[in-house]
Amino acid sequence: MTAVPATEPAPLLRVRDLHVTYGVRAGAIPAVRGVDFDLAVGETLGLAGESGCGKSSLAGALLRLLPRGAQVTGSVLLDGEDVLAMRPGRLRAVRWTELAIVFQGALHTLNPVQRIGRQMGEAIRLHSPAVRGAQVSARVGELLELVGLPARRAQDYPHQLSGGQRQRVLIGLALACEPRLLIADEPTTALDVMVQAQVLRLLEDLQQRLGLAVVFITHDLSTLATVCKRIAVMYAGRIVEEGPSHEVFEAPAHPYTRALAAAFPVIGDPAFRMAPSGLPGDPPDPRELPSGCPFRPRCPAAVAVCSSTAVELWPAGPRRQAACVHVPGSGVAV
Amino acid sequence: MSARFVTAKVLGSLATLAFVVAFNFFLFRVVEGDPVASLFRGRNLSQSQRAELTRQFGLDGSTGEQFVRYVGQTAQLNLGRTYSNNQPVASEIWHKAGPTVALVGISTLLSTIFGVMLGIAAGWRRRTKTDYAVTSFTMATYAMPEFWLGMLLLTGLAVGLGWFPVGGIVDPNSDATGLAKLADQAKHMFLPGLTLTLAYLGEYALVMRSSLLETMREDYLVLARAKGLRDIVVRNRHAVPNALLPVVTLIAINFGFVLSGAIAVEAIFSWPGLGLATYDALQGPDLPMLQGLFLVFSGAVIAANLFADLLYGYLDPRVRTA
Amino acid sequence: MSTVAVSARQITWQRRRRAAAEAWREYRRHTPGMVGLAILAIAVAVALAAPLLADSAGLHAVNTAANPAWANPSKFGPLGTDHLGRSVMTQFIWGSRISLLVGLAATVLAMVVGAVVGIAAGFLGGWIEAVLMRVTEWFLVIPFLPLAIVLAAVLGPSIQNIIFVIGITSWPAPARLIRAQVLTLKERLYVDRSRALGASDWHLMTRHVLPNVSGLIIANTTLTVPVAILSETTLSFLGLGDPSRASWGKMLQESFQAGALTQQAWWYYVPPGIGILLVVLAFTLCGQALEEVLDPRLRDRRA
Repeated sequence: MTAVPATEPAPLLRVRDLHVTYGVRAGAIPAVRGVDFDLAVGETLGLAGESGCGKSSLAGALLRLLPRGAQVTGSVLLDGEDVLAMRPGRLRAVRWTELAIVFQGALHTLNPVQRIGRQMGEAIRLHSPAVRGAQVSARVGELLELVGLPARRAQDYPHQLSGGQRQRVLIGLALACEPRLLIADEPTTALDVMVQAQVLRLLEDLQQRLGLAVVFITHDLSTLATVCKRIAVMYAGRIVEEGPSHEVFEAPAHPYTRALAAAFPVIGDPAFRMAPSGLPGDPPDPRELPSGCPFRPRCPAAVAVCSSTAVELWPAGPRRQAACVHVPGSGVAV
Repeated sequence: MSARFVTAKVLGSLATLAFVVAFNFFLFRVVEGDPVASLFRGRNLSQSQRAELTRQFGLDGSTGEQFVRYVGQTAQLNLGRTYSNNQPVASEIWHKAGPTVALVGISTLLSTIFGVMLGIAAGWRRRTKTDYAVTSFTMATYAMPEFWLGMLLLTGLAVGLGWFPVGGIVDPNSDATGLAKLADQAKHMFLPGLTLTLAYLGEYALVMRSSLLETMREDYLVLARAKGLRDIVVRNRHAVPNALLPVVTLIAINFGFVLSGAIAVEAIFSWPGLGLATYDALQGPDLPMLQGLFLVFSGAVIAANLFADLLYGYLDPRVRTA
Repeated sequence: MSTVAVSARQITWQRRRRAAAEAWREYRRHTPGMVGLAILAIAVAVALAAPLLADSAGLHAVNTAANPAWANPSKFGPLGTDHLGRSVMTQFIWGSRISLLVGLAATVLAMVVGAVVGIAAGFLGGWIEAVLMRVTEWFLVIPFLPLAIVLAAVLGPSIQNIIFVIGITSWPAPARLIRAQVLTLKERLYVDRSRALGASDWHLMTRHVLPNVSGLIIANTTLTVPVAILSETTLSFLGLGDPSRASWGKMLQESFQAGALTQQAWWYYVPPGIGILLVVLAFTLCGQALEEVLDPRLRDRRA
């Protein structure tokens, strides 16, 4: 008698057919064109792609934080509840307590005229109104120390901190209401390499200690390889490859992923110095996508069928998918 | 706020004031020629009388000596005597300052408050009817001379409908005192006050609106919303305090314009303040009076700028902790 | 293969002409800007055609049975008469000349001085910049009207003096803006490259810096003219304008002093005010349109 596989618990986050479009008239821009993915409790997912591929729009859409002119369709099930269908009151209650965002720590991500401590305390006070003054300060201090900053930094203004310190504050702020899911939107992009490594280590550490589910958004594929369990690669508003991070990074199935992986130099590798890298051409205009596969104009492996086949994610191995005709599971004759 | 910041600002203001005093002196000395002759033209003066008058007016001695004497006198608040009625300029100004302070003060307060409110309403919901209405209103009031607006209000509401008095600060026929007198003065101040308020309200609305629009693009608003705050709270607690900063500077900049506008507006409404005094002094021209008024107006604006600088430093931590 | 010798200068002018044509095309799409331009065209036409539209003899006092004093528009002419029996319409048409002339001339003066100061201060730096900026700051803090009043009172009422006074009090604002722009331009590489080739300061300032700030200057001019016009109006109202010429501000002064307010002779003081309002509005609309055309960052995102 074959064992019946235990049913997996429902994922913490389930995104289905997510579309994000800016504008209504003829000039409407489809930034996200049908994205599906799941995220289990405590699981880490990396989302990679060039700027303009739609990853930041995707992140904003999950909590309905996009500007007024943006239309979001599909479903975003957070613990079974559709965020896109929530009433405003429920949405506000869910924000930060269930799902929090770690923004890129640019100078104006934090309110320049308020002290750090007050901005962190604001989140705590909002969702736990019973907590009083001194307790809030204590909690803020804890959060700062959790991210490796001395508690007295709560008195500082954002411009008095370095980029790396600001990023840590944003991480601490995101954890203020103990969410189970964290979206990190390019948290290390603006930092220099040494600080990047520190912040990444901090994120890894916190993720493991607190059992957080994390969606890590970046354009740097190599950082995802170590931090995340799974990677999804986005191009022109869609996911074009998905799978376990090491496999995706070391043996990419999609030509775009291959190019992304090669775009970051490996110091000391002589083969790299000789081989040309970097992707020719520019990301496509979402309003005028080429027929068939949107990557075709820049793809070194493009063939005739690429312009006529509507590519979708096909199996490329156990628990791997890629949207390329060359993948064995595509069933397309190349 | 660091003492160094404050000291630097105060010293800067004093330097500007010093420039004004020097400018006042040289401007009039350069053009005056012989003021004694022009004052007493048509009257025969003996040589000794002329010498005596020259000494009295402080016009003897070299330019350098005159300048030093002038600075000394100014420091002691001796601003000379008016041509028109030979009264000390300083005391004339002192007595007429009150009505202007009241008029300009209240107008500035009201135009700031209402202007900011309108600007927030227009900016937070741009491209709606509110936005277009506010912007159109602003452009219209900006484009017209403020005293012309006063003329329209005067004919319409005072002469035409008789709701308000046509001029002055109190009813000359009444001898009311205390609260009744205050009410009478308020009634007289309504139209000139309304004129000045409407004239400058638009600019505050416009600056607040564009400042708010700039602020609305900032990332910290997205963060605030992501935390779960209500839209109104995000606006009032995060957007508005940041957007208000340019408005503070504007109040100082505008102060000079409001004072200037008050000159013609006071003339229209016969409001007995420094503006009307300037208008009257121009009929002469009563040069000592004009000099004194220029000094007072400039001093007031310099002080307003200093205040706004310090206030801005208090409100924006980036400036004072630099 | 034919070789056409095209000089560098020709290429520059071709490029400039193309840029101007492109700018005009962009401007045409801006409705408020076109409205402003239309109003200005009418105003300038009226001002230029004044001798044809109204007999200038009507500007002098004529209180006769044919021209009674205080006649309202139903009894006389399109705009009635004033306290001296003169046609208000004639004054209005002729007055447009002075208001526009002073506004434009004073602005040109302010712009020229402001540009020279701004470019010199921004480009040359050092103590020149420090001195020029101190002077600019001083002018900016002093309230405009009291300064203009003392200057005008001392210099005497005439059209040249008014132009001078307004110009001399208006140059600091553009000077500051231009200097800021010049400072950013200085950072750009081509200035350094030019200098490495041995270009002199004068060459750099006139050939490189000036063309690049000209857009800013033009936009700023269009926004400064209305301020100059309003200043002329106020100065004329206070009695500091040229007494021998009609201007809209002078109409307001005379109507006020003749008691038109209590007489409710609205036809005397309402038209000049409306004239000023329309002209100022027109310049402001054009100025805003120009700003958006010349600086793409200001264009509203049509999302």
